Amino acid sequence: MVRLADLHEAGRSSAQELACPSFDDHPFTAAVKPEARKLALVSSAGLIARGDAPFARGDSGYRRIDGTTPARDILISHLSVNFDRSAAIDNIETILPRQLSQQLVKEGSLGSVADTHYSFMGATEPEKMVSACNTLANELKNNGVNTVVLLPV
Amino acid sequence: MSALAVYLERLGLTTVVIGLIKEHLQKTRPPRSLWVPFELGRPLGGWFNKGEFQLDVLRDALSLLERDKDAARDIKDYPLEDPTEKPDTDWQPPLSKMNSLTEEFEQLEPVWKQRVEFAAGTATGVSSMSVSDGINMLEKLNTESANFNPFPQREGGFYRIKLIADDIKTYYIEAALASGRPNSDQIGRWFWHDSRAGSILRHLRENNLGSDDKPRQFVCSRLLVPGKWL
Repeated sequence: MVRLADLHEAGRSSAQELACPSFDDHPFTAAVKPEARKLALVSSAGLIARGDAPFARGDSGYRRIDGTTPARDILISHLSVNFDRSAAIDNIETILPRQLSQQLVKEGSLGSVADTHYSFMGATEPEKMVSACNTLANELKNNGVNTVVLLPV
Repeated sequence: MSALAVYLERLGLTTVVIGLIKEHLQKTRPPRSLWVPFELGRPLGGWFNKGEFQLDVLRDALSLLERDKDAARDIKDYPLEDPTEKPDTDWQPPLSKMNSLTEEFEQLEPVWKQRVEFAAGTATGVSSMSVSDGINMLEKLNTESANFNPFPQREGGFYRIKLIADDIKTYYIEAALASGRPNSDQIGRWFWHDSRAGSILRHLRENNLGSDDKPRQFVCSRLLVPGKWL
């Protein structure tokens, strides 16, 4: 169970070091009906497609993971060593559930799944990601995406 | 990620965060969040029951989309533990520590290949160097002088060593997953306490804690060995 108090000391200090801002505003975008939802996934695992440049220290950008990229060509390039990678190595769907999301379309809780998903590297301070986030939001909307599930590691 | 949800929601996208650290969710209060009581690195838990467990978490997260504005920011707790966190008591490490890293790598190779065939590929490759070349590089780092650095700064400097270490760790994890369902603690204990590779990485860290080469010191002190296994 992950509460900071439950982590070993090094993990706790590593998690506490992560910048974690609070906000005065409370933005809320109402969800559209399930059949109109187009989902994209955003991971913080520093994922890259095989052959892409790994995330570097302080990298505030994002990488695209195509929906058709084979699972074994998605690699973790996160700087941190303080999170488990064995589950993702076992099956990448545990951190980027592209195929499982298609199942949710069949079940009717989503209308469709985007052709492209995304990854940032969670170790970077969120304030430095604002510009990339603006670019990503435009890209998502241009691709008809209206719903985003974010999966930190 | 919680902050990113706030940024994206400001720009008109509907978001749900599946968060692992409750204190972070409580501080940032993203528009909608599901707290999952799983190990760091496992937002959907370990792969279980052909992904049915992962689907259940996703369904719970998407259920938050039905909430109205007033209720949306209340953090929802996912009720189940990760069924794969328990140790596999039948699991045996693929090998015990060898005298030479190269020998250890070669002994693991058949087991690793078996796993790669089962998984239809390998998750190694982030360093863009073969694992066997990476093993040779690590062996060299272990035996050369303390200042030996195979990569100039323009080629990524010592950060390349971190990526090579990541590939080596992935190779060992894949070998560990070839038989049974070891949890992360079992794999970590084997790698860091009972493998030559883990031992060399720990030594590399210790030998460079006082290095004057700041990038090298940073990589070795922070990016090679998980705090849990120091």
